[in-house]
Parts: sequence; C-alpha cells; structure tokens
Amino acid sequence: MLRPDAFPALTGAPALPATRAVVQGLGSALPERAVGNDEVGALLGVDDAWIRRRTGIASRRRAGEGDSTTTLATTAALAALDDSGLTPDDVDLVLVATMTPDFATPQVAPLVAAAIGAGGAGAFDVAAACTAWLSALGAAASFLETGRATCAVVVGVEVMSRVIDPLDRSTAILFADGAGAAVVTAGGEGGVVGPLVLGSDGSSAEHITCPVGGVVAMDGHATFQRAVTAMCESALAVCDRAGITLDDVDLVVPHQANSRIIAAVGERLGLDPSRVLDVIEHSGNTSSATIPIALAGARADGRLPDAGNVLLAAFGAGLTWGAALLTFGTDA
Amino acid sequence: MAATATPEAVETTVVKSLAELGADEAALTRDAEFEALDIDSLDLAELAQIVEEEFGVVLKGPDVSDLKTVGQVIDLIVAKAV
Repeated sequence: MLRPDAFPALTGAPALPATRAVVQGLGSALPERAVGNDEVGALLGVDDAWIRRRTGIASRRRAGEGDSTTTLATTAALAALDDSGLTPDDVDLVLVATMTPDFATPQVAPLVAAAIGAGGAGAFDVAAACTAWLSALGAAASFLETGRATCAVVVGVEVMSRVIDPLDRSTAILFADGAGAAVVTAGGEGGVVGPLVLGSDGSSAEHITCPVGGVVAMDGHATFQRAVTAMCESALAVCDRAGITLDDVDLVVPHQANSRIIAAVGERLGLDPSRVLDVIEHSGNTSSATIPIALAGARADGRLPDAGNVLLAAFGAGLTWGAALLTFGTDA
Repeated sequence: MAATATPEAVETTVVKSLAELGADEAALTRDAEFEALDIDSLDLAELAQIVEEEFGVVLKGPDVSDLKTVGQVIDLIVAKAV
C-alpha cells in the first residue's frame, strides 16, 4: 500500500527560491569493455534468457586497465561541461556521488575538479549508495539557490565490479561500471530543479550490505518490495509538493536498478511504459550513476521534453530513497 | 482492514495476481509449478506484497524460496494467517 503520508507535510506552500538551480548539461562515460550475459552467466549456471528475464539486462560495461572511478568521473564531467557550453573556469563546486571511490582519501571530487581544470572549486563526495546522485543534486541545488555556489558539476560514478562477487547470482548479473554527470547552475536555461525529497530506513539496512573491503550482499525479495514502494511514494510526494499530478509528468526516470523494478514502479503509478525510462539493457545497474547516465542518454535521444516535467526517483542501500522534479521550458 | 485469509479468498487472490504477473490463467491449478509457469522469485516478491496488503500476511524471501507450486504458496499464506 502506498502511504500518502510517507513524507512529512510541509506547513504552508513553500516559497520558491528567488534563484533556481538549473540542469544545463548532461554527459556520461562508460568503460569500453562490454560484458554479455553468456560470460557472466557461465560462472553462475544461468543463461542469457534467464538473466534477461530476471533483469532486462543484455550486457553491461566493466572497467578495464585504464579505467578508475576518477577517470570515469572526469570523462563524464567533461562531457557534461561540453554539453552545457560552460567552461571549467565557471565551475565552483564539484560533487561526486559514489560508493566505490579509488581511495579512502583523497576523495574523488577534488581529483575530478583538478582533472577537469576546475582546481580550487569546492569539492566533496556524497555517499548514499544508489540514491547518492539524487542526494548530491539536492545538495548542489541548495548551494546554488542560496548563493553559496554558481556552477556545480554533479557526478555519479561507480566501479561496482570491485565490490561484486562474480559467483553471487543475485548481484553479479546486475551491477556494472560507469559514470554520468550534470552541470547545474544558478539560473539559466535547462531543467529547473523543483521539489526534492529524501528518506531513509536504517532499521532495514540488512537488506543490502557491503563491508569495507568486501562484496555486496542483497536480499532480492525484500529489496524489490522496498524499492518499488519507496520510489512510488517519493514520486507522489514530489508531485504533491509541486502542486501537480503524474498526468503532468512527461517522463519518469527511476534508478535503473532492474527492469522488473522499473516496470513495477510504472505499473503501481499507473503509467504507460512509454513514460517510464528503462535503458538498463546495455548499461546494467551502475548504482549512483544510473540516473545521470539515463538522463544523458535521454537527452541524446531527444526524449527529454523541451517544455515539461521529468521526475527522478532513486532507491538504494541504507536503506535510502528519494525523488526530484526537473521542469524544462520555464524561465529561471 | 485486512481481508480474512480463507483458503478460497487466498486462492482467488493468488490466481488473479499470478495471472496479472504474466502466468497463463488456464494453467494456474494447485499443482502447477512456478518454473513451468515462468514465475520467478521477483514475481513471488510482488505476489508477497499483494498478499501482505490484502491479508496482512508477511512472506519473506526465505519463506517463498523453496516453494514450487501454486498450492504450496496458497497453503503457506493460509497457515501464516492463523
């Protein structure tokens, strides 16, 4: 059952900030090496048909010799900057969402800032598993709306292959490597960041865990149920706060966790599949990178509306979850 | 308010839900095996969510992982509702 009170009610209509955060550029970076289901399945005693049926995935990218979290993040960031028409000199904030940094310290963000030529920018990583890019978008938007930054690069990047057991059927078929990024500015033309909600349930943390230096363990049954419920409730809360209904949403972009979860979210929300983005087939589940990768792809395919609403929804370990609205075609 | 989990009510809900999840309704007999119906563990996770909402009966992953037939899941739900 979806709870209408899943998120605390805001008292009074929240005033829109005078300065809006606007997504102006999108980009992605996927490792070159594509790994098909036959290769992954061979170690698990399952075949291509089994994996496709269960996940919707046909192939996924895996980091190669020259790839690291930092290099993938940097490439995605540069692609987003290029798409935005802005330059590294404009950037004063770099946020990197990841659960697979290259080092315990330094964090990925300052390394990316230096690599893209924005050395000196404020820079920090954001950790909230698969929800982290949404969390980072919220943080960036808040900095931009309050005059604490003017131009942010928000990256989601994972080298999940480092933390996956190739012999664990529940995770080895799903997770993948890659990076996506957005350039978000104070004002300007693009996707205006509207209401954004975040939630968590640490009492259910045991469903998805990964000890430091270990591998991800996931209860697929519980994760499926919690992910569908949380993403639906978050999506409805964001619509409610924006004063719109799902009928006003042109495209829903859920975290690309599993095609079955994406489909269940769409069904529960009563949405035609054409309005729910599912691009997991050849990119797999790249955790915090799935949403920016999906957005960058949607931009390239012309699927983002020139004027309209795009609703993002995420769910991840923690448990954590959230949703956000991007509105295109309005003045900021 | 949860509905009463009589064997008849549970069977109706299970059959209807499995059909909605893609199973061939004509094939949904008590002896029908999930594997033959192409019902997998994620379908059972969705079924479990429907059953919890309808009857208040909680089915966790380990509860369903060994179930093989439609009849077995119906019986489990009825047993847990008591």
